[in-house]
Amino acid sequence: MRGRKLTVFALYRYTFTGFVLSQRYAAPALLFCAAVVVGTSSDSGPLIGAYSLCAMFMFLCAIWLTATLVNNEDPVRRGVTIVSAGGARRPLAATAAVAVSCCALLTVFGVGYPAMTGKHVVTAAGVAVGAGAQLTTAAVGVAVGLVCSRPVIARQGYAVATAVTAALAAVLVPWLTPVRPTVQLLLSDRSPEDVATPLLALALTATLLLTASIVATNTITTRRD
Amino acid sequence: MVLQLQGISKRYERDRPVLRDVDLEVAPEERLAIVGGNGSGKSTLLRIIVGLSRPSTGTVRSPKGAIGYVPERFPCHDRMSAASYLRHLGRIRGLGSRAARRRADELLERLALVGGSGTPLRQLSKGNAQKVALAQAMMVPPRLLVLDEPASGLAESVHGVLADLMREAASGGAVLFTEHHDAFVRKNATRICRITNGSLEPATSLPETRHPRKIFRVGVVPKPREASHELDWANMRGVVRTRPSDDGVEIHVLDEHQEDILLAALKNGWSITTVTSET
Repeated sequence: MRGRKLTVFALYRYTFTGFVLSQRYAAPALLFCAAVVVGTSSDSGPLIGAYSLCAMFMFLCAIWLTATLVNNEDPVRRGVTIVSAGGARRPLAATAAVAVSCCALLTVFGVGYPAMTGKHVVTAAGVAVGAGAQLTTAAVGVAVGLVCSRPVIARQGYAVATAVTAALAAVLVPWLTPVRPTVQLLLSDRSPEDVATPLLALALTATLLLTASIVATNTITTRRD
Repeated sequence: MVLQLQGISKRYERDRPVLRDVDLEVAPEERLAIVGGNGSGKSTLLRIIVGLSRPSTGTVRSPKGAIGYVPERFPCHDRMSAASYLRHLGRIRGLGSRAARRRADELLERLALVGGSGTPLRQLSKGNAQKVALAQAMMVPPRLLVLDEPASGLAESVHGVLADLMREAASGGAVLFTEHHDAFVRKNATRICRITNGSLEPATSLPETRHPRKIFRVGVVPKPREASHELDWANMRGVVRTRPSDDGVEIHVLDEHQEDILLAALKNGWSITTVTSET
């Protein structure tokens, strides 16, 4: 018998393969790519300013992508997976890891396209800040997507309404989540080197938020049944 | 004990309790059948045992991580193949990739999955989906195998394989199952409990089937081998199970279909070696 880490990796492979074969990632991924293309093509000005739009759309698409990923597995089949894994925690952790991985793949496009097509001065620090900002908002999006998924909110209408409300609140209310501060930081006309430290703090906050979301989702789903 | 339940009750919100103060112990090598009417709480009890549902009161001691669970309905809407799904589940249960592949192929062959192991799950019929559900639970021999109406949806010809798998699981642990087919319960359970009004009690008797079915063992050999036509004995009407014998096949067939099998054998160049009553 292998260890717990290998079971989580096996769960990750299973979840990722099922999601890829379902092709349900296509709509959120296309929305993100289209938004990046339309919003950053032939853009000029500071590179990290162009990444602010990518970070904003990454947040929205991460919510959609995560909810779609969790809802992809039928509840009965999820039950079989949970029994096979010996509990609900590891399948949920693997699902969150798959969602973050999908967002990381989108980040490659979200970082590369503006750098290649816009009229910017491209520096390694600028690209790193862009990637960090998008992963930060992605983590918050995954956190919101998890608590708006079917195991937590069974009725799809309520789940969509909650997700939209949470997204609007995260974007509009200052300091509710790291999304708005991250976007504002990228638009602040500061150099990439200057924004790196506050961005790191925001990334850590986003990671904590994601961890709290995983714990809350696990607690709610296991107590509700 | 493989499983211990103490004072298990379950109530969904303000509804009347589904289960009331259920105590149960399952010993190694036991095959316990839980019977009861529709909506009596059998599936709820199984979900509590496997850890998918929390009891309102009471405690469950089960071998978590070593439970095989076959749900009543196994939904298959995805493009993943049956073999691929089983390999993933095998790895989740701790098998290496090669061992998972070998075990998946072995189980699907035993269960005679129609269409082969590469068939996408969404193309499987209900019965074949149930075979995959059964196979995933047996990828690693579980300490406790929990099956929710495993025989429903499965052709009678597969009931023999199902019974064999249940016996195998019980030899290294215990089996707990619900079923509506009295004959299946009678044949495969070592103990029977009944749920009535949410309480679990030992069943003193099952309602008698009107006509207990008689099964015959028919031994056939191809003669001469080159002149005999290949026949899919396992999927013939009335065949309960088949086993390869020294130079032919041993067919377990229901009484009313015995003559059809004999006729099919003779017409296709097979010789009949034995016909004996099993029951």
